[in-house]
Amino acid sequence: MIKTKNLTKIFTTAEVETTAINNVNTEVQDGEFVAIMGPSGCGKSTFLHIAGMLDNPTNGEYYFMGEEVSKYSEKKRANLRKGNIGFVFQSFNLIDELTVFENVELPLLYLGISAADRKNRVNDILEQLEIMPRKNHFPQQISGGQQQRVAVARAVISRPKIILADEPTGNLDSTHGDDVMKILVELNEHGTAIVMVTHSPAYADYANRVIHLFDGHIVTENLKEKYDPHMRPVSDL
Amino acid sequence: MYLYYFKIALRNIHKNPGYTAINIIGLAIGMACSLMLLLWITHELSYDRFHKNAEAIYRVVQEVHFSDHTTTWAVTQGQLGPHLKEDFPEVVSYTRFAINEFLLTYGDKNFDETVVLADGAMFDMFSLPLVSGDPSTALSSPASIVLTEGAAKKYFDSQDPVGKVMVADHQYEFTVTGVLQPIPGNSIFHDAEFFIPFIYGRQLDERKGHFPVDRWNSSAFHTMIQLAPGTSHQKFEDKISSYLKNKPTIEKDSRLRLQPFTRIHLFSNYEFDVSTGFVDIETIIFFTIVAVFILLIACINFMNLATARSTKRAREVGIRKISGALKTDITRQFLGEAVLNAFISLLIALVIIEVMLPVFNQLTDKQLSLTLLANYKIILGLLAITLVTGLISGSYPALALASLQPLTVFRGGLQLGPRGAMLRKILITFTFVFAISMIICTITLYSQLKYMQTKNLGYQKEDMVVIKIQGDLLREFESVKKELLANADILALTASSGVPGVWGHQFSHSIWQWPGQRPDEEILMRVEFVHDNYFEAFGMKIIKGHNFSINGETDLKKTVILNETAVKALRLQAPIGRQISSGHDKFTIVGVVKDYHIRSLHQKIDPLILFYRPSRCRSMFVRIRSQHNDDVIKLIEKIFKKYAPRFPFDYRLMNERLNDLYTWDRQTGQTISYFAVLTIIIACVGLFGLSSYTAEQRTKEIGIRKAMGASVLQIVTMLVMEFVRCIVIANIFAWPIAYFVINDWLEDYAYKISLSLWPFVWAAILALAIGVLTVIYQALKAAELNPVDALRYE
Repeated sequence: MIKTKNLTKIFTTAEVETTAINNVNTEVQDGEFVAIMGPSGCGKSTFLHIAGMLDNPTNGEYYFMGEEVSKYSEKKRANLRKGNIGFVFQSFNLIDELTVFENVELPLLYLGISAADRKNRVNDILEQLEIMPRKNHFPQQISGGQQQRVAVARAVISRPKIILADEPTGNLDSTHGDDVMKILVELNEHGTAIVMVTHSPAYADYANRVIHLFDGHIVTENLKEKYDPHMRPVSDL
Repeated sequence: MYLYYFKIALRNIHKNPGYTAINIIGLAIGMACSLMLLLWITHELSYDRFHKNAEAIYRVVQEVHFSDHTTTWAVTQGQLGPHLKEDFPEVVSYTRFAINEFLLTYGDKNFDETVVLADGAMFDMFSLPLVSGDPSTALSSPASIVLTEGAAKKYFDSQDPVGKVMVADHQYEFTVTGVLQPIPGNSIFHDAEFFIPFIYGRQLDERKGHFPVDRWNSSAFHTMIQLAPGTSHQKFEDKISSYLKNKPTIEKDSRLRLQPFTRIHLFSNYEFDVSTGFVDIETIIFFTIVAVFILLIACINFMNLATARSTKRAREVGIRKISGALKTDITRQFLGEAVLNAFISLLIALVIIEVMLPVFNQLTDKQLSLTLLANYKIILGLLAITLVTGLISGSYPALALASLQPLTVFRGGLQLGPRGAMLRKILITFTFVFAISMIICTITLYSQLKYMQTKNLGYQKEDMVVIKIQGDLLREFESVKKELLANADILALTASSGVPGVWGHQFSHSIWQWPGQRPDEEILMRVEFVHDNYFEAFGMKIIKGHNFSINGETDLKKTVILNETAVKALRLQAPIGRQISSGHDKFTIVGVVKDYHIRSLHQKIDPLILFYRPSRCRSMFVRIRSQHNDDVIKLIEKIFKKYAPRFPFDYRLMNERLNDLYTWDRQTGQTISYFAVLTIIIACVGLFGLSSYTAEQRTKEIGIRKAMGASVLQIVTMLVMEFVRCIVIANIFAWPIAYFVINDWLEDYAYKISLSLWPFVWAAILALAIGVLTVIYQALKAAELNPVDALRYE
C-alpha cells in the first residue's frame, strides 16, 4: 500500500532547521492496521502527513500504491488523494456551516458523483454509523463522539484504500473513544488499511503492528502477530 | 455544483451578518455612486442622437485668423445658409437659428419667454415631431409661431392653440401654426418652447437686437446644414473652407469649418456660442474618472475585508482540500461568493439610486431616472460590470485561499503573514489617496467660488436693481429718473445695452482702424451702449479724460470711451483726443475707464468700447440704498407699471444675476463635495471593517500586553497608529495628484485664487480625524477587554 525509503523531513525557518523524521523505512500492506506511537514532537504527525501526501519529504522516497510520489506537485498529490485516502483528525475538523449530511458528502462532491448517488451512499454510511437521526444537524449541535463518527463517515464515504487517523480518540472520553475504535476495527476487517497515530497503548493494541518513533527515527516495530493479509482474526469486541 | 456554492454563500452571509453588511453596503454605495454618475454621463453623451438625420447635420462655424491669434466663432452670417444651399449640391437643407426674448401674451396670460427664430426646414432636418400642424409649412408664413405642448397648456389650457393669435411685446402678432411634442431632455433644443420664422427678425426693431439677416458683414446666427447621403464631411469642409473669401465679410481671413451637430453639446468651446448646458467634455471625463475610481475603491475595500476575513475560512478550505477539492474548486467557490455579494450589492445600489436620484437631479439640473437604464444593452452592460466587480473584488481572497496548503491550516491556522497585512494597508492607503484628493479639490473649488463672489469686479454690484426696459421706460427715461430719484433711498439711475459682468450686448470685430495700426492688424472689441450717468451709477472710474459730455457741445455720437485693456491693445500712449474709425465713421476717444469685469471671471477682460446710445439700451439699473428694502422695490415697480403697464415688472438684483454666472461652478462644487463625502464614507467603511478585524486578530497580543502592564491608552494608540500611518502616507500621494487636477481645473478661470497649502493641510487633518474616529471605537473595545478574556479567546 505505502512504502517509505529513507524518508526524511526537515523543517527550515530563518535560523533553525528541525529534522522531524529521519531516514524512516517502513511499509504498510493492504488491509493492515498500523499504530504509530511516540512522545510529543517525535514526528508521528509529520509521518502521517507525508503518508497522506499532505506534505512532501525533504529526502527519501515515498511509494503510494506503487507510485513514487515524493516529488509530486500539490495538484498531482490532490488527485491521487481523492478517493484513495481518508483522514480522521483529533479535532474532528468538520465544516461548521455544513450539516452532518453535507460534511459527509464532501469527498463525493469533489469526485463528481451525481446527487442521487451521493444521497444514497451518504444515507447508507450514516445508517451504518448510527448517526442518521442527526443528518440535518450542524456540528455545533451534536456531541464530540457524534462529530468524530461524522468525521469517520466522511473519511470512508469515498471507499478509500487507506485511512490515516491522527489521534482520533484524543478529544473523546473513553466511551466515545471505544466507539470510534470499534468503527475503525470494523473498517479494517472489511479490508481498509489504517494508520493511526495514538498516545494510548490501549488503543494501539487494536492494531496489527505498532511503530514506535523517537526523534524522527523508528525505534521499534512490534508485530502483535505476523501479519497475514489472507488470515483475518475474528474480532472479539 | 453552482447551486451548492450558492447555498454555502448564503449560509456564510447568514453566519456573519455584520461583516457581510459592512462589505455589501460599502460596495453598494460605491456601485450606486458610479451608476448615478454613469447614468448622467450616458445622458450627456446621448444628446441629439435621436434625430434621424443626426449624422448628416453639421453646424457651420468660422475659424477667424487675426494677426496675432486665431479663434473660432459659433456664429456665421445670415446669408451663409441660403448661399451654401444654392451653390453646393451637397447641401440638401439648411436652418438658421437665433434667440431672442419676448413678452408673449394670450388673453390675460403674459410671460417673458425665450423664443427661437428658425427657418422652416428645421422640422424636416431635426426629428421634432408636431402633435398638430404641418411640419413642412408650420414656419413658412412670416408671422407664424410653433410652441411645445407644455407651452400650449400654459397659455391655452386645454384649448387647441392652432389658429390662435399670440402677441409679442404688445406689438408683434403671431398665429399658432403648430404644436410640438415635448422635446427630449437630451437635446440642445430641450429648453426651447417657442419657434418663429427666422426671417421675421428683419421686422424686429433695434431694441430687440441686431438682426442682420441679409448682410455679410455681421456674424450673428447659427447655421446648420444637412449634407446629402454619402457626402464626406471632411471633403466638403475642405471645399467650403475659403468660401467667404469672395464675400463682403468684415474679417479678412475667415475659414468655414463643419462641427458635427451631435458634438455641439459637450464639445463646443467656441466664441459667441449658446449655452447648451454647462457641462463640457472635460467635466464628463473628470466625472467618468471619479465614477471608475469610486467603484475601484469600493472593490478594493471589498477585497481587503474579504481577504482579511478569509483567515476565518482557512480551516474550511483546508478541510475541503483534504476532502478532495482542487485549487479550481476553491477558486470557483469563493469567486462565486464574491459575485453573489456583488449582485446583492447591485440590488441595494439600485434602491439607493432610486432614493438619491432626486437630490442628484437637483445637483446636475437634469431629470434623470432609472428608466434610462431600461435598454437591453445597458442592462447587459450593468450585469457585466457587476460580474466584473464581483470577480475583481473576489479575485485576491479566492486565489489566496485556493493556494492554501491544507497542512498550513492544521499547523496553526492561516496567517496571511506580513505580506498579506502589508497589502491590506496599501489598499486602504489607496482608498484614502482618492478620498483626500477629492477633499482637496472640494475645498479649493469652494475657495475659488468664494473668491469669485467676493472679488472686486470694478463696479457696484450690491444694492443694484436690474430691470428689463419695456414699454415707454426708455422714451420717458427723464421722467422715470425724476420720479425715482425723488426718493431718498434711490441713489442713481442709468441704462445700457448689456448687463455688466453678465453679457455684452454686442461684440464688434475687425472693422476698426486706429493710429499706429500695423498692416493686417485687427482687433476684436466688446461694445456697450450706455445711457446717462452710467459710470457714476456703477462707481466706475474714468482714469483719463472725461465722461460723455451730455450737455457739452461735442457730438455725442462721435465720441467713445475705451477701457484700459482696449487702450493697451491699441497701443495708444495718449489716447484722449485720438480718433478710432470704423469704415467711414470716425470716433474721438474722450475718456478711458478703469478696467472692470465685462464677463464672468472665467474670461479675461476684453477690450471694450462704449458709446453713448440711449436708444439702444435694454436694461435699466437703479442703485438703491439697501437691497433689503422691500418698500423701495415696490416703489420702483409702481413707477415701472406707470410707464410700462402692459409688461410684467421683471427685475433682478445685480449680485444675484452675477451669481447665476457661476451656477455650474456651484453645482460642480456641490456634486464634487457630495462625492467626496461618499468616497470618505466608503473608505471609512473599509477602514472600520479592517480595524475591527485587526483588533480581533490581535486579541491575544492585547491580552498579553495588558497582563504585562500596558494601559488602555497605550493599547488604543498602538491600534490606531497602525491606520494613522496609512492615512499620513496617503497624503503624500494625494497632494501631488490633487495639485495637478486643481491646477488644470483652475486654468479655466482667467481670475483665480493662488494655490496655498491650506486646502491640503485641512484635507489631511480632516482625513486623519475621520480615520481616527472610525477606528477608535474598535480599538477601545479591544483595549478594554479583560486580559483573561483576551487570553481565553486563544
